[in-house]
Amino acid sequence: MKVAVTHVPRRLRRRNGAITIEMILTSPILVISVIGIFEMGNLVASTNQVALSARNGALVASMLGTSSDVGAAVNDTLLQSGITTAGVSVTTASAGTGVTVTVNVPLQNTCPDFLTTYGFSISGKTVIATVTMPLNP
Amino acid sequence: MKRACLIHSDTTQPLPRVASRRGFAVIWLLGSMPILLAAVAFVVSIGRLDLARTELKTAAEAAALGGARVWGQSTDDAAGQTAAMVRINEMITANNVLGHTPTVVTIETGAYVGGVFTSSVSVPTQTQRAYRITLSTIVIGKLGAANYTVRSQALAVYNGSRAVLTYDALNPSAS
Repeated sequence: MKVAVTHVPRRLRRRNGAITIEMILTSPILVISVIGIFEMGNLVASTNQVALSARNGALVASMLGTSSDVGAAVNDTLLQSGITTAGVSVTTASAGTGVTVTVNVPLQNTCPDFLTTYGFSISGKTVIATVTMPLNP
Repeated sequence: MKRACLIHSDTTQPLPRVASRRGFAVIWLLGSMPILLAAVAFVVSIGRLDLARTELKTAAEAAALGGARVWGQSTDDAAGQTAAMVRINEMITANNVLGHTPTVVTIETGAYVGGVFTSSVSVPTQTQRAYRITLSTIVIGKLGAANYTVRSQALAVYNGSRAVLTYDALNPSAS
């Protein structure tokens, strides 16, 4: 025999739909946070590699002083860590007893632009490193 | 008082108490926020430490190369050391570490012979003149992370035509 359900209090009704909606609303925050941490890790690692490339470029500039050799040294260092060299600018400036090398790398060369669909794009941003070495020809 | 049951049954049974699940996902999200913030702090701290070490090493190398070159090219030992100190300070000032001038720990003059650096040798020959520079900086922790002191050392010797970076065979990891 079946018992007729005449009255079910509102608080006891099934709420699977409500939980799903909550998950839909909160999961983007979680996803953005996790991807943001991943991109930040990429950013700090690539910043270090750009600093290393400027150091290697400045060492070459201090001994040879030619811009083509400096650019090659910088690009070699960047490529070793998988950073593409398109759009990379290398500036060499001698002043007094030292030579300064500035490396400017578009951030897009260093890591994928995962968060662009969420409005946090790295397009147009750059990583800059400057190193001065003594002239040592 | 007995409540109606949703299951088919021959008798009316009391309903189990069901915990309210409203705000379930939000509570989990808020609960995981400290973990996410800790992950951000960890990533940023490791990255800044790594960058500080690279920049500090570069500054020490520039200073050692500058000092060794000026001292090595000078025929006058004392005047050469004075001029070398000027070049060393120029290089330390020119190479910031995380936006700040690094702190000088030691600036040692000495002789580099047979792969070994001996500090404070009086008047070494020009091709043995070497500078060993040790710098340090304090990396301020972000998002609650602790502060760390980073040190780096570089050794350069004049080889007769230019200064070159090298290492001490008895203590290779330090330089």
